[in-house]
Order: sequence, then C-alpha cells, then structure tokens
Amino acid sequence: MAIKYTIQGLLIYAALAVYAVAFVMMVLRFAKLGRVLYLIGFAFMIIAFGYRWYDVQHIPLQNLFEVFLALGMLVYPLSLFSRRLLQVGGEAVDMLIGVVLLIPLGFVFSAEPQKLPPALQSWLFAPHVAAYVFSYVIMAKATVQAVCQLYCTSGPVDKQQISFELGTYRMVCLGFPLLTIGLILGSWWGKLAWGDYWGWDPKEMWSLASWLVYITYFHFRYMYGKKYPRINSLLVILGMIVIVITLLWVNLSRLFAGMHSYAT
Amino acid sequence: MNKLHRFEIWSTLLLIVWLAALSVVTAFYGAQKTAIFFNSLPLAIYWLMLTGFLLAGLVTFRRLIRLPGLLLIHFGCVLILVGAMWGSASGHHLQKKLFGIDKVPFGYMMIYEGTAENHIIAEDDTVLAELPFSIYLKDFRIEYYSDESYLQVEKRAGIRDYFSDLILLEGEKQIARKTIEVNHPLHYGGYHFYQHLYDIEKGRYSLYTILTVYSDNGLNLVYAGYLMLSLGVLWQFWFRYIGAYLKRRVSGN
Repeated sequence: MAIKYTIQGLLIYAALAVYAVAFVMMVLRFAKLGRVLYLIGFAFMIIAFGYRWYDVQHIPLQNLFEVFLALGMLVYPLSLFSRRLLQVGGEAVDMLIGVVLLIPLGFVFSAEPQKLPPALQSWLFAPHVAAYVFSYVIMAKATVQAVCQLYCTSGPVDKQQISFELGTYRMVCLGFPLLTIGLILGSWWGKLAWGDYWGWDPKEMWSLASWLVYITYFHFRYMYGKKYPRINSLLVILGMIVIVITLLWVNLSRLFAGMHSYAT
Repeated sequence: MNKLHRFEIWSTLLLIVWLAALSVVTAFYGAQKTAIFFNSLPLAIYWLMLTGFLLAGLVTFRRLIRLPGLLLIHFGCVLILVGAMWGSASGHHLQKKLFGIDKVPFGYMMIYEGTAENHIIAEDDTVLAELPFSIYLKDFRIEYYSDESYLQVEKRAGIRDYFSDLILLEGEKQIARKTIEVNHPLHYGGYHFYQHLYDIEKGRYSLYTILTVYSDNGLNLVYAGYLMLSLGVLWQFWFRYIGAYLKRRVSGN
C-alpha cells in the first residue's frame, strides 16, 4: 500500500470517491444525482489518463497501472452505450466496478513511468492492448448480467430493459470481436517481434483459454440456450475468471513467468 | 436438429473444451515444454480432428454458409489450422519427403562484423542448412535512451534498440541492404531473419550478431485466416446489428 501524493494520484482518488458516492446514491434511489456524479468521476479519469499520456510521451497502456487507468475511464462510456443502445442496465454495478478498478490503481500499482524496451516499440502495441482493455471491461459487465441471471429473483427494475440472459448475450456479442482482434493483433505482433505468431507462452495459453470459453458459450447457447439458461451464465462467469487470471496472475506471480513478463 | 448435427456439434464442443483445458494445464509448464507437447503426435491427431470437424460443420450446417459472418469465422479457423500445421516442424518434414522442399523450420545465424555467412545452425552449432545466398554484417549497434543508461551496462533497461546493418549477397553480387532491429525483421528467400542476440559482455562493442531464422511456410494461410476471422467476428457481432439499426432509423423517420 502506497498513497500517491501527485496530481495524478489526487485525480485518481477524486474519481474513486465520486464513483463510490455515485454508487451509494444509486442504491438510495437518487438515480439522477448518481448519474451526474458518475459523469464527474469520468471527467476526472479523462484528465488523469490525458495527463499520464503527456507525462510518458506514448499511449499509456504499457503496465498494469496504465491499463487499469484506461479501464477505470472506460466504464462510464460503456454504461451509457449499453443503457441507451443495447437496453442493458446495471449502471450502479458499473460504478462499483469502477471503484474496484481504482483501488489497486490508487494504492497498489506503481506509477513509475518506464521507458519502452525494444520489443514494445511497435505500432501494434496500442491496438493490441486497447482491444483487450475494451473487451475486458465489456466482459466484466456481461458477467454482472450473468450473475443477476443466476441470483436475481425478479427481472431488471427498469421495464425498458431486456432480460438478464439476453443482456449477458448482448454484452458478450459486443466484447467478443475485440477479444478476438486483441488475440490476432498480439499474434501478428509476436511474429514481428519474437519470430513466431504463437509462442506457447503462459499468457498466450490463458488468453487462448478465455477465447475458447466464450466460443463454448456461443455454441452451447445456440444448441441448448433456452433449455439451460443457467449454464450459459456459468460459462460467462467462468470466462471472466479465466480473464482475471490472464490479466493479473500471469503478470503478478512468478509461477507463469514468460515473455509477457515485462508488462509488470 | 437431427442426429448428425447433434453428434457433430457435441464432438466439436468437446474438442474445444479439451483444448481450453490443455491450454490451462500447459500454462504451468512454461513455453518450451508446451511447444513440444502441442507438436507431439497425439496432438497432431487432435489438430487434424479439429480441422476435420470444422470442415464437416461447414458442409452440413447450412447456417454456416448462409450467414457470411459465420462462414468467414469458421473458414478462417480452418485456414489458420492448416497454415499452422503446414508451417510446423512436422509439416516441414512431410514437405521434404513428399515434394522435396528442403527448408528448416527454425535456426540461428551467427555473423561476425565484416564477414558474410550462409549457414543456418542449431543451438549446439551443428549446421542445419546452407542458404543459396549469404548475409554480410556491416555493423552491429545498440542505441541507448541516454548516456547515463549506457553507463549502467549491466542493466538492460536503458536500451532503446538493437540494430544489425545487413547486406544480402548472391556470390559476389550485392542484392539488397537492410538494417534489421527488434520488430523489423528481414524477409527474403522464404525465411524471416530476426535480431536476436550479441556478445553481452562487450555490449555495444560486440563484434558479432546472432540472428534467429524462421521459415515462412504456411504463414500466408495463417494471415489470410486471421483476416477472415477478424472480418467474420466484426460482421457477425457488430456490422449486422449496426446495419439493422440504421435501417430501422431510416424507416422510422
């Protein structure tokens, strides 16, 4: 645990506080106030991300600190997009996801800027990581819908919204192309930087496993989805567990040391 | 869904789940052992089965032909699998036996400054192949982010990039020049050449460079598969709905 006494740190803490208060407001049914606060938190995160970009002189998506900075910024636009265009709710939980993302960002990860090692100096760096960052946030939201499908006794509060099962499906459909493209761009980059498009590296194996879990979900839902909706939801939750391992465990533990290890 | 369809999709699902499980288990092995495992004979049978079931699905499920997104996704996966098998060590072995194409899948080249080299060697220095052209090393260089980071020679964190200035020779004739660096390999004669290593003790004053050499067999198939898979997922999961949404809005107004 280390508190960051920098402008960057203060912006993150401000966003964290605002997200948390917004969540409490939503729970207390002050939805309008909650949404205004959510927007303010988003503004703080944009400034924090822009400041970081300016500070390190390249797209800040190199290490866990920078990736979580992006994740914490992206929850707001995703909530808005999902509610307006996909009729998928769960804004209050999105705020909570924001809080959960900002706590390690503010207190655990090191903000020490790093110079890019040779292998990371490629134009594929930004799109590869950005595609994954987007898809992970979307899959987190899909997982919330899946958990609601399993445990919520009634449907969504807002009658305009679709069922949790369909909500899960729409979120996975939104995130899956990005997950696929992230994998393919990574493979292409691997060919340029390391010599082979597939290196059998632990992180690659975990990311392949997460992709395959969602493939299983699509095929199972196509065959038996209406009959066993609970299994659909369990598969989406399993996908998220594998994603969390891919993102964190591989970087944080020495158990899986491999070629992706510089992204500490 | 008839019996054949049910058998097919269940088998494919089992194959997918099996691959996911193997990926998770082998993630604990480390890359080297995992590569050996996935290139072993039982796994070769697995890859052939997976490709076979994908092709069978394309033939028997009319939905996969009717929806362009699904067709692109599944056919793209077939191309990736075929390209990967074609480019594997066993694929190279088979091509040598069947068609007499004699290429090594992978090797190293060690070139001293001011000399030309045309041998691909293994890790233990045995010669694997002789190229019909040779590579002349003009200079090996390392660039640092700053002079300070250069002074900490033992710390590799300050290195900006490694370069080898290469000249391709056919006999005495110069064919091409290229400076390779990390992320920018040389592609020539069916191989990719990568900046790999140097004399670490001498650092930027290293008198030689070590390149890794990869055969490009099957690579175009894999890339074509990647393109189809990307377009397929975008079409199936995004563009279809965006198109329908725009249509609704136009007819709604």
